Amino acid sequence: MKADLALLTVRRVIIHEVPHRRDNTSPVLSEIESPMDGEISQLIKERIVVTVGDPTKSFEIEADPGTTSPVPGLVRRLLATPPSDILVEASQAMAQHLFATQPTTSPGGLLLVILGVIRQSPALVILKLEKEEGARIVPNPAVGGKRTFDIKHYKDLILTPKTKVFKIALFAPWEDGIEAFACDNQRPYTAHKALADYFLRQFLGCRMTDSPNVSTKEFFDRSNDFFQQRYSEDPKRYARAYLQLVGELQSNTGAISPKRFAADHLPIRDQKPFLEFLEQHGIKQTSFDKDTEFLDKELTRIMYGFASGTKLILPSEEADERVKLTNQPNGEVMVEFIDRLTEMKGR
Amino acid sequence: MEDLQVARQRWNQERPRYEACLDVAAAELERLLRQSGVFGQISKRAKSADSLLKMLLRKPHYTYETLSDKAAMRVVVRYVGGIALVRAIIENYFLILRIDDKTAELAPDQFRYQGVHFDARLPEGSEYADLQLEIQVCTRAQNLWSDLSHDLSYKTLIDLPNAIHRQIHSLSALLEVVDREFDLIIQSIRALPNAGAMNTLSALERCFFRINPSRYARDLSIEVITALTPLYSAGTDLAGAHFESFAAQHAPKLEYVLLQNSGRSPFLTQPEAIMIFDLLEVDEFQLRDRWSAFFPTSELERLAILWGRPLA
Repeated sequence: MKADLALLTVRRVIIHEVPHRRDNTSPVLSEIESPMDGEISQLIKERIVVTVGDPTKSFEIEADPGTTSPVPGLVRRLLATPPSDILVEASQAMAQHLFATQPTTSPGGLLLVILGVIRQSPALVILKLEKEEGARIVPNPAVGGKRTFDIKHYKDLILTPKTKVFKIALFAPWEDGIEAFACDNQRPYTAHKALADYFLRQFLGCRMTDSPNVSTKEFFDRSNDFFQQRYSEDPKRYARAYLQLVGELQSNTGAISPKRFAADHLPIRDQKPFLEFLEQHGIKQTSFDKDTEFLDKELTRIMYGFASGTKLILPSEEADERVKLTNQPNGEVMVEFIDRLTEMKGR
Repeated sequence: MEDLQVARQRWNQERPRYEACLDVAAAELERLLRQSGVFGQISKRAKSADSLLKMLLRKPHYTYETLSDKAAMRVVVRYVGGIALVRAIIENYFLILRIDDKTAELAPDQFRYQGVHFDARLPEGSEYADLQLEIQVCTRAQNLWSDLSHDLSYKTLIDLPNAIHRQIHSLSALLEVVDREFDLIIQSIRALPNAGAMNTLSALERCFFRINPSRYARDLSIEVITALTPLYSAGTDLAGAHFESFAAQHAPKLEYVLLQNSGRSPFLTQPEAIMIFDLLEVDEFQLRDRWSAFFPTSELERLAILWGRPLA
């Protein structure tokens, strides 16, 4: 992410209720913004940083040129310079569109549309979170009876680290365009796609920036390059890292986070250099949907190649169990392979 | 003797301008001290009308015009060494009319208040460049002496016996020794072979004071610095240019994060926050591993969020 979220200041927020569609109701729309103070601003900011600001959770997205969603157009208008004061109407339109596009299986919730600045530049955050019992939009006598959501009253319900699941997207101008990131804490770990389709495509009118099959292949190849270089003197470590990489790609998680992979599988001293190596080769730290379409061969079988020309090829799921490597002082490696011998023949 | 009622009237009219002048001068001096990473507590006051008249009564050789401390600022530094730094900043910025170096005036066997006083004006171009201010620079010990001596002698009209004068002067001598010994102790500690953490803290303090010149828990700083220093490669100039370079590179962000997140982490009011942010950039994984051996991981997680780089 190019925008530095440490410098984000949350300025304005408006909140609408988007109920469960099965309830046969309609959205309850605020007519004015929610009152904001320093604490609320800080709490919202921290929720933003730990979601879309965390590359292990966030995905880079972009407006889909073919979308019929009104959201990309509203985002552009809200981020325009000089700003046009359309937060209330634009956010109401977003709430109506979310209500219309969310599947009947999706729970109702609150839609927060947040305007802020990063340095001098505007930033927009769209956040859907699960509504806690009792949190309601009510007329506010202090502002002529206009309906709004008293975020101060409910802050402990909706803005703490214990806040229930939510989906979030951040949009910030960058150079000639808008950079955007999204995160979906509501997705099950094993979901095929990391962002709910209705939220990303139908509601936001966006798509993933990178093609999942290309990103996955690039991640695999460049990671392997790093391991080969880094562990050239340590074949045992190299084999282990390679098997962990294969395991990651074969697992039933729906997305890959390079940073998460580094933190979970590599020695601490190698984690930062690994991420730097990937970045040097054009692989961002943000997560991406996993698609192993181009990797079937690599993931199905593993080949151990040796300087003598010897090759050992076996199904990848058997490698960890059947092959044991031990480094030798002269740089060679001792290979122990356990299996039942069924045949031998000259070639 | 000055016509006191005329002086009162003039002062009542002019005092608001002097107060405004002091506000500008103090703000500017504070900015310059920050910029230089020098710690100095600034206080200021424009005399009350009564106080001004009392001064004219007690010191009839002064007139309203020649009374130089109608409006005054005091900068209190921690160590004797700080006086020269602040003095240089003042001489560089203000138009100096007169310097009264109390230390230089004293004979070797004399002991009384030390410190440096300036009669000064704001630089040309300032709205208040026509007004004269007194700026005093002293150490905490000298400041203490200045306060005590007001009660003890020169604001009283009683003739004190020599024995009491001697007591007062020996007290003054004692405070001079306090300043000198304190400086020597600090220098001696910094010269110790195992004083790396303290010297690193001095470097961090210079960067930190430019943003937030306030008191902090030094013992906590030393603990954190000692714990995290092994994460730097040998030869990194932790007591010198390393943090200066980081702070310069991230100046607006450091200022924003340290000042706009008040109450979010106790480390934000500690100079070592700069070291922690530096290490978050260098290698957050090794930082987390080491940090968790000494301090609660939740605190590092919070700092990482405030720095905009949540931990994995």
